[in-house]
Amino acid sequence: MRHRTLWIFVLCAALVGAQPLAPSTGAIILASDYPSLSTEEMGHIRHMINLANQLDGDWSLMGNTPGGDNFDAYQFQIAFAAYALSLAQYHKVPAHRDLYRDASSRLIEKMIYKDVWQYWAAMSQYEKRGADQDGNSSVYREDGWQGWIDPNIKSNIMYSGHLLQMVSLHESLFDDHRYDEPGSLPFVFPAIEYGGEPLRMDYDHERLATVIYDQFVASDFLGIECELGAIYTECNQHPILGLIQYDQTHGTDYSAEVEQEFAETIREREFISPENHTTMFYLHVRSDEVIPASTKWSSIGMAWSDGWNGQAHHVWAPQYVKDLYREQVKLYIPGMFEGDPGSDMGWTSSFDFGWFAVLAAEVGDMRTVATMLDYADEHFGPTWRDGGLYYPHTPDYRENFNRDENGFIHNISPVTGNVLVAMTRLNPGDGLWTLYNEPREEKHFAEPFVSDVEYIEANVTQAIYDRDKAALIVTLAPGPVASDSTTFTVNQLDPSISYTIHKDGAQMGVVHSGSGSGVAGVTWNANGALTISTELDGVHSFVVAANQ
Amino acid sequence: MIRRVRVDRYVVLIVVVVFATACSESLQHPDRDPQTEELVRQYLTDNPGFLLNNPEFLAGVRAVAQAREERRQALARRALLDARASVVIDAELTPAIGPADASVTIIEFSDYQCVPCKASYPELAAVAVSDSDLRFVHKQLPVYGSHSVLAARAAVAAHRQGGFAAFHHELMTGTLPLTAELVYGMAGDLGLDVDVLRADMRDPVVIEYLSAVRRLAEQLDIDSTPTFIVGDRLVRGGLNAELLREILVEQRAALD
Repeated sequence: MRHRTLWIFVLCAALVGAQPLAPSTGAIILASDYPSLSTEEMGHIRHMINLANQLDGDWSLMGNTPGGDNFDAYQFQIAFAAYALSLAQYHKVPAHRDLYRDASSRLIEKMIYKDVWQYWAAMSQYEKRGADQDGNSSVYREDGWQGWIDPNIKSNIMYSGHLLQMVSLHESLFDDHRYDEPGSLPFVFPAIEYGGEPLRMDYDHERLATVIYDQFVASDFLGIECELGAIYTECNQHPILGLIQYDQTHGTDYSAEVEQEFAETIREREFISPENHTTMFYLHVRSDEVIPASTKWSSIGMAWSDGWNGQAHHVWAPQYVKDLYREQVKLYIPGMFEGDPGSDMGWTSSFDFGWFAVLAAEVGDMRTVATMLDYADEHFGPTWRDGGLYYPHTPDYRENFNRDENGFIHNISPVTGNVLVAMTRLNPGDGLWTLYNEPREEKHFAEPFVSDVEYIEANVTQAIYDRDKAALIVTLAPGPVASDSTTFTVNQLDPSISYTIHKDGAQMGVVHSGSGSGVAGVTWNANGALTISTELDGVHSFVVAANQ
Repeated sequence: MIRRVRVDRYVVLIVVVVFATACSESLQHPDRDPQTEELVRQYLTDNPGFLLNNPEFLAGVRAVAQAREERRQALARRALLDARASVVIDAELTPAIGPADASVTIIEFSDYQCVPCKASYPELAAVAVSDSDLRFVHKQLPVYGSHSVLAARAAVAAHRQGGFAAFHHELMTGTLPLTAELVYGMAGDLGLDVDVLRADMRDPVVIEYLSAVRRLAEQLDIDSTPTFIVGDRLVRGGLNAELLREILVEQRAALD
């Protein structure tokens, strides 16, 4: 049944995509000329939104690592889901905001849920346990107990950097300033097990950005510690992206200085080796020693580290990263895909695949991207659930890193299966670069957009406003719950002019807010928005074009 | 050495008295002697190893702490439910079965695709048959995806037509996978006006109501279905009749 629906979807999409949609301006508008979401892309989006919509405390399908420095920690799944959804919204459906805005705020809500960040309270106990990154004893609590359990105030950039990037993306993409409100990012720590009173640490976008910027300065731009006594390059990329957008929306100028100084650090300290072009493992703070990737777990480098760092670094140093990538791809691909049956790939096998795929997409190596997506589809057990597409994590993903009996990658971690492959597919190439370097202009938020689409029954696979043609293109496809019909709302139309509406290439009629609709299935709302009804037996495209 | 043993025994005696007092309902027990308390406090401060060497007291400390925490949570829950009562508990869209003045109210957060919810349904029904002094408040908390959302909206819409109990029964006892066709067919078979039901399912008031229920659930730290609030006690997971009856006895005793 599901396959039949899928085939109908694909067939209809192909047919509709080829139909000319003639606007009143005389120009032919083809839906196929505009970006649209494929069945798989839509499936990834739905899966990540489904995860975002899980109740607080329900981490189904996300593994069992609430917070911390494990790559499967919820914080990384949450953050990269936000990045992937941002790519989709920015590039494919920029005129569809409410679904993505709400998912973004849900993800931020999850990010500040105590399960996710309380790991840092446990970190404060490390002094007693006497262990740091290398198992050495360490005295790390000079700020005292409470200062350290605040996950943002000091170090922990592997948490706080992602939160800043998520909040900055939210504000930039949706013109939504809720996180500028004081206390809008509360961290509440019950602390009953320590015998203390509940502790509330209030943050907002500005405080988060300045606390992180100040730490960059305090480190003399060496970078902010990601975890106890260790600076990783990739961790420090996320706050930089967060600061870039914070500057764009708040008129500040933090990011330029951080980019310039951190680039200098990378060059001087060889965080990225000029010889083999790979990202260091980490900087051991106490000894001030750069630990190269090639000395631990891998003789050549770490694909996950290069991928993770590169995909974000590409935003502010595109040519540098592209040059690195040309060397890195030769190191890892295609050797990653196949090897001796049962051979140990090391604990990073799944992360190597996931993060390097994300980088390949960002630098626009679409041939490698296609190869990796095909590989995932063939070997990672793609699964559809409630309209969402993902690759379920292998039950033994925490301990079995061996290739399977055919020599293929066996290990699928939650972060790879839930979000990284999704992010790869949703990046059209240079996707993050464009998102950060061509931010939404103010007029984007004043243009027509679609909203109030019934999520359980309809997918919005196209939603884009063509400014030059003054036309909104919207395509709907059936969602997981079968429905004969559905509706959507078109907002911010100009009440002083009329609009011609086309459906699947045929003119439905001309509407004018002052004179009622007169078109079957189309009604003007009191607030000036237009509600359009449609049957939902397949894919249907609409063009709402202004008659200038 | 002998003196130390005597002191320890003395302290053990005092600690037992203090714990017994602390475990009682009143934290301001009139028989408490501040001087004795201070003596115990000072001794424990000076000899933190005492408790570690007497694990039975650690268990006592934990039990007291847990009881206090549960009480605190129950009070916070009660305050929250009272504050939100008009919006979600007593709201027109909330289906409730049983006398409004029942001695105990059971609030159930459930999903129509949740197996333990369905397993609990006949158990609750069995208790309801033998105990008429109960009020069941049904809160739809769809957490199993789109078809759960569909069924939750349909249940609220059925309630609008006065047909909740029968519709709820069909959904809770049905064994077929939920589909739109099944839900609408079920409503039609029960004599509900399916066109009205479908329109109500899209009513923004219904959708917002379910969002409010979800927000309430999250404020109550409910992270799965089913979750029950029986009187002042929160119970996560499925309930059988025996356990429910035990909890009812406990809750009614607390009322006395």
